[in-house]
Amino acid sequence: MSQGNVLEFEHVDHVYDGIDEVLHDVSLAIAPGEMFCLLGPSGCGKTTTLRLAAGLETLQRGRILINGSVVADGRIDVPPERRGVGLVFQDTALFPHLTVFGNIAFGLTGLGASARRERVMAILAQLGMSGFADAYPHVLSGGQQQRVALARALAPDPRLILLDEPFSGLDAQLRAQIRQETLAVLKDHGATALIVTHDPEEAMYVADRIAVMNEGRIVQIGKPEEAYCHPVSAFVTRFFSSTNAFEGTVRGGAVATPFGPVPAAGFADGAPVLVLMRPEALRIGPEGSPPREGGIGAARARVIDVRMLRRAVFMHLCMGDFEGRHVHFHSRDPGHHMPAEGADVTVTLDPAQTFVFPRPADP
Amino acid sequence: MVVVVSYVFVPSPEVWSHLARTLLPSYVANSVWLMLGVGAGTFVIGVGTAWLVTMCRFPGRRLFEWALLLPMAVPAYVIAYTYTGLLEFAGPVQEALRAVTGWGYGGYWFPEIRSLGGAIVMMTLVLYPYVYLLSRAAFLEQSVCVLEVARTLGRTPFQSFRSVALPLARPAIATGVALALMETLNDFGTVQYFAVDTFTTGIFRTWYGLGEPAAAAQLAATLMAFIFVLILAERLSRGRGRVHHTSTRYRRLPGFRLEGARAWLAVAACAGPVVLGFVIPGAALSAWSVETAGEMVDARFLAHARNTFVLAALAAILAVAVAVILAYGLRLRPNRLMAAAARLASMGYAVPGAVIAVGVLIPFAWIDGVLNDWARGLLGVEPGLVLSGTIVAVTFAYLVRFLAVSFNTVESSLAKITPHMDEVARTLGMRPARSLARVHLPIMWGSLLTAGLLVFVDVMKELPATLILRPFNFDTLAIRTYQLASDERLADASSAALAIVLVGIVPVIVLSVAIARSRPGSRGGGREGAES
Repeated sequence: MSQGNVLEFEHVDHVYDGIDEVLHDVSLAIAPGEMFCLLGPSGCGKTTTLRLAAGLETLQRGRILINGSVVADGRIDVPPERRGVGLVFQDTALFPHLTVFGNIAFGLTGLGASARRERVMAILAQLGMSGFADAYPHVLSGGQQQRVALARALAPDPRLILLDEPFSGLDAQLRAQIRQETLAVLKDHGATALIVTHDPEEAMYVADRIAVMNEGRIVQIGKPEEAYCHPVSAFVTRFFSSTNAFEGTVRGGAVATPFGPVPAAGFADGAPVLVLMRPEALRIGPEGSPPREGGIGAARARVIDVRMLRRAVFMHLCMGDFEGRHVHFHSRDPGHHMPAEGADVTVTLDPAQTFVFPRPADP
Repeated sequence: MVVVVSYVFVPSPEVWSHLARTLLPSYVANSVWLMLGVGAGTFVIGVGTAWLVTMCRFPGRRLFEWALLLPMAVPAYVIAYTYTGLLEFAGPVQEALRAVTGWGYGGYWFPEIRSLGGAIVMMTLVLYPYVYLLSRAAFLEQSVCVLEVARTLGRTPFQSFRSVALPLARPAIATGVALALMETLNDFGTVQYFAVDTFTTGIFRTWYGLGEPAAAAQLAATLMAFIFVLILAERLSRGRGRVHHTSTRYRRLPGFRLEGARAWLAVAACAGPVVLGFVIPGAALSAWSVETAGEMVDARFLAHARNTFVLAALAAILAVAVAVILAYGLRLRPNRLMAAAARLASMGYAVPGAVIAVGVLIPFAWIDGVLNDWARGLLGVEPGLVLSGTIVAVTFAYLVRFLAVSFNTVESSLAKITPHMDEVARTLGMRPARSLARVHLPIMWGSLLTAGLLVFVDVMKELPATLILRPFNFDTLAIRTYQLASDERLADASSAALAIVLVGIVPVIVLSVAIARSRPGSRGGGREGAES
């Protein structure tokens, strides 16, 4: 156990009564002031991990430490009220019978009345909600409720703050704004946070580090850009964005694709592989244009369908027959160039957005 | 309950075989006829009026929506006494008849109210609101869209009622009829007064007349078998008839406009039960009360009222407190044991008061006996009856019988509080007990009051358990009504009966307000509203 981490999980296993989420050998460590994100599809175990940290689930195997002291190891089980963690839910779970002031002051039990008032008002001022101290939760908008929930969790100055899908209940435009505010407030308090989300973009926006989870295991931990640019598995790649998939076999350190050979370092000759190409990896040029610098190949494709999607042009491309297979690809081309449907274009592949993973051999 | 079942195995062969030969067949026959009659009556009146006021438009509909609940406030024994007073030979109706026609005694036929048929009518009149209440709630919950689809597929309004609305509401209707039948089996005052021998009267007679607690317990156990079949039937019909609402769109109800003769028919159909079940008995009771109030509302009446209030308030507070502990315990530790305890506790409502009384008295009397022996041996004094024959026994019996009422209310209110609320409170430093005091109880306050009120009124009306278990010389308003009526002093009984009915109206109002709010889309105000 290394000193100085706010939260540590050591080889945590967890099984429900045969259903739902399970955890297998989860280990992680969060440094002071860090925004740490658990990212994964629903049922991957991220919420269970958060609830174990809060003490809302009883640990089965492994060890959990907060600020270097054990809070759960199968024998010790510090109850949630003594762990010093703050909790924010998507549904806010504000106490409907208390005012905004009452909600935020709820956890401030050790303070005198005036110190309490001061603290609550300071947090409200910071969130721009000074005028709402005496309002009841039901008169607030969704965004305001979310702010109060955050203020309530922050007020007792917890060592660790846990956020469970905190922005999912908000509509798209408000979400971006509240996300930004929340991040600013958390940073301002020097808080350490564990954030659970299923939205990769949200994770990349708020997190200093991301742990990608799948089927109860942490499959990759790293900075957002590492996870995005160097995914360790097909699952991680696909979770961050949609992809084109192409199955091939390694011959002489490369896989033959309709675009040309894609390097596959470290694979044995004859190994079956899966090539994943992000739609952004397909660079579109007019028919007959030369291959782009650093790109792979200059393949000809026919445009089946083309649509403008705000920042990029989405195309459905047919590349004809390749080794006896009829191949289709999707591309997402930045800019606003729209070829006509049925026109031919030249496609170059960007190797930085193309990933090769092993796959089970053909049956 | 356990005691009653265990006594089945205590042999008392001669009494039992005597009973089985002589009285048991008539107990069974009367109870079955009573159930069939009341079941059919409550079904027709309850479902019919519920459909009319929910789906049709006619004069006075909004009034009937809640007025149809009023007969619920009248205990069956009170309405039985009242109609006997009105319809007996010397009553005002027959006197008027004789005055008009000039007939003399025996010169004409008049229905005998004190009969099995009379009992069926009396109980139907006050028990149909159970069916009305639940089927109306079911009709309100139904999406109008399915009815509209039925109409576009060529059904008339009545056909779509029969082929769509009725099957959809079946589980609710079955529950309503089952409740009415449980109340029927629970009834003591009516059947005793009408001399219709059923299980409840049999239990009393065996206990007091023959002095045979074991045989009484065996009768009680036989009665429990009936109840068990009822519960099972209700569960089964719910299980098979699992209804999922496929459409979640709620629109204004269709409101078939009835005009002319049909409108007046609808008014008559709704007014009938209200007038017969509430207005006439209420008016008669009021008239008699005015006549007799001078001598009947005396110090004893006030003492009885105070006794009633003390008992009912005590039972209500206890029932709510135990319900909160059970429901919160179930929320904290939702394991099988807790769930079973909660289920068992809420079974009490199905058990007739007489059975519970027998079940409470036997062990309590035994404990008292042991306690007295022990005290005599050790201290040379006898403390007397500590449990049985004291307020403890009767309160405990109320708790067993009415815990279900408070538990269901508390549990459903607790279920509306998201578990996230508990978790947030804990991370903010609250132990579960403090979180109950600071978060859950304040949020549930309204429901706790409702639960207490329901128990209060039920206790006030309760007759058989009170009759068996009350302390010596500790009479309540229900007991006073029963005793005066038994002495054929029907008019003198009216002030106590009227008091019971008046207090009984309060939960009827609470219920009708709750139903008006329950329909999705009709904002009932309150704090849950205004989510984003």
